[in-house]
Amino acid sequence: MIRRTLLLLLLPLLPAGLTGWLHPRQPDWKQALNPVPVVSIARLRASPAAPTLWIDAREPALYARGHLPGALNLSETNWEANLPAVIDAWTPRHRVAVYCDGGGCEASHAVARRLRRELALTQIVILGEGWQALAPAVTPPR
Amino acid sequence: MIRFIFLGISLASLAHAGLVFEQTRVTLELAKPVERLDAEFPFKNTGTAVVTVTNITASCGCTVPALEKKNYAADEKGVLKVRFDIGDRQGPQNRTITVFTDDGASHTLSLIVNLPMRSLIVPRLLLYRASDTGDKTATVTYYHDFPVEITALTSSDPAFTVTSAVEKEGAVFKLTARLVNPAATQPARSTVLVRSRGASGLVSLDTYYLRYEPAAPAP
Repeated sequence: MIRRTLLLLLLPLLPAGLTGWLHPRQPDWKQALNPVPVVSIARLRASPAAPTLWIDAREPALYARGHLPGALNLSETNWEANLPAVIDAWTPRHRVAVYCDGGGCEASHAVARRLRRELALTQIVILGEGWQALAPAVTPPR
Repeated sequence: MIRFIFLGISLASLAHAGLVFEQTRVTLELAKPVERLDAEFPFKNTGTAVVTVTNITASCGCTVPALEKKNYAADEKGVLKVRFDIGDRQGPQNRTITVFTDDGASHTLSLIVNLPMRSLIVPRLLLYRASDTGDKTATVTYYHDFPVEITALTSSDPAFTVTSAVEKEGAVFKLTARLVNPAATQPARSTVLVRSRGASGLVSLDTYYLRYEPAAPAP
């Protein structure tokens, strides 16, 4: 009885495992197990050893209204158009910090994941606070 | 009191007069890559006077809005057609179209398109340092329109040579880049264009980047 119950419980693991292994849209396990770190602006400023390349992951219209001085705009919607400028600005000494609106916005996570995957960046972080917190401290672009 | 209520209702209806779009956001999900797509934003002039569309702007040159005419009589319906030239774009796309009318109103419309991943090059950046002498490789994987063939591979900087080799017939290719002069003292940057053609004849262009950073001169 116990053996049969165990067999019934374990049997679904076989198709589940195969699906997880072979499914064309399987999750990115490497990414899921090793997410891009989220840091605070205070922590970022406390470790100023590496120059920071700021990436604003919001939509271009929001970026145009105001952004961190020197930040480059790179979002999922303008990826191909704006990636060359990011690559031009990046050097191996740079630490890349990605922000979006803040308050749990997903854009910075998506852009940071994609930057790490496509450019094999090792020094990349997501800014936890986001633009909502940064905006009062910076001068809007002219 | 009744007069004020009537005035309020009248003002409210006036505020809604003019062009009213059935939906201001159109979302399209594509299962396979295409060169372009068309979206429609139907509208109606709910006012009592003729409305003239004075200007239409789009957030990207790839998005072309078109109207059959500019003037719409009271109660007349129309359709704003939007053509989106996809080119080599993939992944989520968000385009904004703004319609301006002579009654001073502007209407912001969103076209959201989820494009399928057509291809992926990993990594997109290969970095050579002064100590690097060997070849470096990237892999391009195509997800649709099999079999895909690479028709051209070009480096914008002759400091690098690039070649491709089949890893999985019609789907996965290894892209190998070689620094011509590993002892060069000048930095080099190259954009590599990977042209491909799918089974349907659809031609695509992918890019990846090469960079050489020579050793810093001794102080």
